[in-house]
Amino acid sequence: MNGIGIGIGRKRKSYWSNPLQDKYKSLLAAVSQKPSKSVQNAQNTFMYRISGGNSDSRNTLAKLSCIIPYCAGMPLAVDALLWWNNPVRKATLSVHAPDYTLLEGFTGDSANSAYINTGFNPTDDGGTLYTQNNCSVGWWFRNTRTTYSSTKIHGIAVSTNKIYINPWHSATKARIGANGEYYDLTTVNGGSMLFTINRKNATTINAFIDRLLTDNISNNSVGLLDGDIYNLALNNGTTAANFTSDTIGLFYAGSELDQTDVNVICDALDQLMFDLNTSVAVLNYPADGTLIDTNIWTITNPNTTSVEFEQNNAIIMRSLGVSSTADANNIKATFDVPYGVFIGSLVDIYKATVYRSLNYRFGNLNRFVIQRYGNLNQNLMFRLYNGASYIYDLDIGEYEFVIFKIVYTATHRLSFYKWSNDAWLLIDSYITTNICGNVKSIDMSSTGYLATETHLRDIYITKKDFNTLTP
Amino acid sequence: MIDIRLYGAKADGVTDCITAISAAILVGDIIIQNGTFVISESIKIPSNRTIYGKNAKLKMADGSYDNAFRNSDFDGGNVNVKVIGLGNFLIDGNTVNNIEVNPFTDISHYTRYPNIYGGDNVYKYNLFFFYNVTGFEVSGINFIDRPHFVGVIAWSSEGVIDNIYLNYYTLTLNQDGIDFANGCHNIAYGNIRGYCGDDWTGLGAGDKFGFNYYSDGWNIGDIHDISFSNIKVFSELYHLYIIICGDGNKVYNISFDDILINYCGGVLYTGYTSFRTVAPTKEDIQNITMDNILVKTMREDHRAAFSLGEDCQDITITNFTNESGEPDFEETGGLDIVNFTINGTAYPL
Repeated sequence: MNGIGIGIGRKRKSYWSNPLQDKYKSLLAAVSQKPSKSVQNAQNTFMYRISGGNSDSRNTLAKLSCIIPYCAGMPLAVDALLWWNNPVRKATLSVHAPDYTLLEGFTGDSANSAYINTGFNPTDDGGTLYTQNNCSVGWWFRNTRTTYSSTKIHGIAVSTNKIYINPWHSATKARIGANGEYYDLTTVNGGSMLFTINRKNATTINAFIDRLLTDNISNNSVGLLDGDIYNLALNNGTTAANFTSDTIGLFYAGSELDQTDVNVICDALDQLMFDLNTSVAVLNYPADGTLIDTNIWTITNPNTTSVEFEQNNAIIMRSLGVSSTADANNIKATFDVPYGVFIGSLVDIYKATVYRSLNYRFGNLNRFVIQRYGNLNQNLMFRLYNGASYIYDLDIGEYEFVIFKIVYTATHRLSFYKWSNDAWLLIDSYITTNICGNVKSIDMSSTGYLATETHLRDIYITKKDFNTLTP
Repeated sequence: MIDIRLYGAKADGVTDCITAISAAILVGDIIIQNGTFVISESIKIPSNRTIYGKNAKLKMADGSYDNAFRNSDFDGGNVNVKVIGLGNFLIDGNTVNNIEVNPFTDISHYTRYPNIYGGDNVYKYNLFFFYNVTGFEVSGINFIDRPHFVGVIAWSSEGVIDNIYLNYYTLTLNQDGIDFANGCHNIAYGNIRGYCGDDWTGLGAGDKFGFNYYSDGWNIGDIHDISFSNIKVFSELYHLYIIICGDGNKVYNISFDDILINYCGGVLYTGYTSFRTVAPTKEDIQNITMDNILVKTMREDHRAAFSLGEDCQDITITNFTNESGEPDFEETGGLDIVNFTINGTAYPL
């Protein structure tokens, strides 16, 4: 009888983290294989967030004519092609189909002409929403390109009416085109990114990278494109062309998307990515014991006479001072995450004129770091480097010891937390734009003439954000 | 082990946690973890107790010049007292408690510590203090800032000092590392590195070694059978080791191995005669070995690597490399030095 007693008279707690959305019910009814409850919960939250469950109460979904979150965790590829705003519609795949990967989306094959036809045509599907202008289109995709190309694009180009993006056209620039013209955006270095183009009016096109309005393009528009927008290729009006091997995770199109809408989409996508991922760690290294795991860590140490690494319940980087002004040594672990949460416990005891950095690197120089450098009474700093110069500088208010959490989202919000009085305390956030990409390694490095030590332990990297995780 | 937070300690870097910690350690071994904990007074460790630390800083409150920890019973003695870091454990004397002086020119700090020589509270001005302890361990700790010494151990034996990093933000006079005073023996000291503002280690067996616990008999007792190994001295401004001996006490059976000195004012010095009344005989300082010693740089204005001011015998230095360009040896003259060799060469020459 005990079991009955428990069930009667007690209000069952709702499974859903947020109110179950009617739109989501419709979506779920249309899928051929339902995802797990936890994935459903994450998907519903995404729908809730873009439908008004956000700090601005903005119903961005109402402004979208098509949204396809390819990365949203549908077990089957066919269900990942559904339009979430209108699940009677879905995208279609080319004969040689892009590969589907759970939680990532579809990966193109430039050698075999793989692409997605979204089925979205601004003229047909936008209807009266689209007057002369107002067409907004966005893509969230990742690439692993190491070379530049003029043929890696998503979109449509019919005659002079074009709307497309080339994420890595040249060494430092992306290219956005519309209505017969193209424009170079500011620095982009590959990796994952969300591009939104909003053809605002007859003379202005807005271009967003993630949340940031990066360009207002003056253009005397002459007309709208007419045809389906492709992903992973360009629709040239009759056939697909200019294929890419990018991975696309999200496509959306709508009208009059403004800064608030872009923020809503970014926030919702960020949360979706963290919610969908499991607790499987990318790197979990407590550093207990006395032996460095050389299967994880590679020591690059050009100056072997003065720098050494050991592990004694922490990875200890010890330098008697190096003569170069460049990073002279490091201990490094590699991985590749487009977004993630980076936790650790750091001891860095200050000495003037010495630079020590705990680096999370996008590339060689582009990185975010916890750093000490040679000013007296300098606290530990959290910085984002664009090449050799930092573009974001945060005093984290600690001298030589910090238990930290860095949250790097899918749309490149970089937040620094420290563990204080048994809780994570947010110190600051920063929106990255031109420094974005997959985080590919962690390393410690030392520069400077004085001897120093830095200790690191409880290194934890995951694609899920644990708000209460204790290092 | 007991998490001190269960007794009310807060890892907020502000709250004085000494009451909570003191209550917890009476019950059992404790762990200090995950945050910065401030204390205004010393943790007094009873016998058979261990303090563990991990991912934590134990910081002295502003204005506190007490030890961070010491054993609980000086007169009756303690046994089996340990403080063990399990990774990223710091003990911070708090830089605001230091005074900024030029140790070469400014002695104003003597007025700040009026009991520094011979007073009842002298022992408090070190980050830790053990007196009359049999069986101890201090390991895995990063010590930062201290009014004076990092640690003083007196009348204690069967101990281990291991894996210690010494550092300071504010340089003050008499900022020694870990010193051993009368009555210390059978101690292993190894894997130590960092910075010192003054002498790295003193072996003080004179009757005026001023940092002992002040009580009857504190200045009587030999120092012997202590090993020092794997030492990396980033910088220390005076001597790596000083030996103070006299008044009938002895220092013997001491070994030093595998020592890298990046910068120092000297390796071994025996000339602090003001800390004893009666000079030692050569039999009082004897049987000391040093092996595999590398000196990279030394102060130009200071003493030779080995500078003797007392009688001694059977001191053997092997595999000694001096890259500094400063002299290897000097002595005050008139000493009875027997069988003192550096790399097989007898000194004085």
